Amino acid sequence: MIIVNCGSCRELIDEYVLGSLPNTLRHELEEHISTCSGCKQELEDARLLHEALRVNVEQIGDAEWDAIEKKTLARLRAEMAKPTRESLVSKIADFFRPVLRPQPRLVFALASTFVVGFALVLSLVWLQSSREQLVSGDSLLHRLWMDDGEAPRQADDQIASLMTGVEEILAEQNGEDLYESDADSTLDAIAQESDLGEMDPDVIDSQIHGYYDVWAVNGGYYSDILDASNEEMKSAIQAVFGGTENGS
Amino acid sequence: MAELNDSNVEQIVKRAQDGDNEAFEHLFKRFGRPLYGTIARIVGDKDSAQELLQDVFLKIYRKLSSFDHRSSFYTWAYRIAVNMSLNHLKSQSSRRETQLEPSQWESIPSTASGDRDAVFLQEAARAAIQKVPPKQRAVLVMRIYDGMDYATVARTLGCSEGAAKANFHFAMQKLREYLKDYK
Repeated sequence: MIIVNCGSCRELIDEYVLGSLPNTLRHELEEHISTCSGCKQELEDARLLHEALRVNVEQIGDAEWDAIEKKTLARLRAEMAKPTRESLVSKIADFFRPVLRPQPRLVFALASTFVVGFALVLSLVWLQSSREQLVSGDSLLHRLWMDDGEAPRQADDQIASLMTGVEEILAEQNGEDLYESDADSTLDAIAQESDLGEMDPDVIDSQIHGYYDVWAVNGGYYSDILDASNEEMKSAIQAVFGGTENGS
Repeated sequence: MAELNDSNVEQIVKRAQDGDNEAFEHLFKRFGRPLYGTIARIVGDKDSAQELLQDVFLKIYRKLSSFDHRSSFYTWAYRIAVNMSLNHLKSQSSRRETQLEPSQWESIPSTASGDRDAVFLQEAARAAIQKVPPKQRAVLVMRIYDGMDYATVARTLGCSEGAAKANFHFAMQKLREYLKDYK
């Protein structure tokens, strides 16, 4: 459960303006705003901002669209006039048909090789994805919580540290989206900032995704994670990772 | 093609999949305009958006046979449009090109600081959106302009709902930071 205070109010306010808050939370937020002049002002600012953003919808006049439509259709028609891929395939098939038709054994051998090769590739892909799932399931977030002897509050502190690290990196990169930036340098930076230098970069990356997922389960507001009780954290993490008490 | 109308989009798509080019043109005429709006808001300039719209529909045309009708045609086409817009921004580094230079940024009237002039705020918001990183901007466009929920945003971008929420949150945070002088 989220207790609406000034901090959570500011994080919820955009969802409120977009009308996407669940009823209970919306009522709680309205109740808080009715007693808090600062948050009332925040709401007014948020409404102005959303209004300004909506006004900024690119207005396309009919004449302008007609020109765009004409140009696009011309390019599409040029593409449509080209021979289609299917007809090319047919041509290739037609080319080989006289050679292959009288040799069913050769056709069978080629088809078998193709099927075996395809199965081999599929197996490799499956093995690789299983490996990735293992890494994800073994994410730091899961281990932080499930490891015996790991104090829950310490886990909270480490998560907070990681989040602070990520935020600092985002700030350092002047707003650069974490996932848009160079992967190695970002992961190095995260490792430094969050004191996770010993961690495998894949695990750190997985941890960040895990953090986002736990965040989502908690309603999307990271203050909830920091403020959440141990039980709430545990259930959120379990909901995300499907972890069990013995999951580590 | 009198029998083509919006109520039977699925049939039109099937006809286009069977090679009916007139049906495909109908799909473009029906969905091109809203998709152009989305592309233009993500890439931030109309010239690039026009080029991209052509590329998007060429891709849709070439890939149409692989559309399996599990989602609506528009959802499928929308996903292609958003992802191609993001790829365009990445490959061309056009985020930096379309971002206003500091001198231009400063040229936005700021005399209204403190008086909440809606026009100034709108102009500033238009410029500020271009400073938001591509993925965050895409989520912003999907949430605010196209009214999508997080589950749909996540499916479109191929990320978790948490990541979609995080991107929206950071985008709004940045907009507020850029626009703090316009309060």
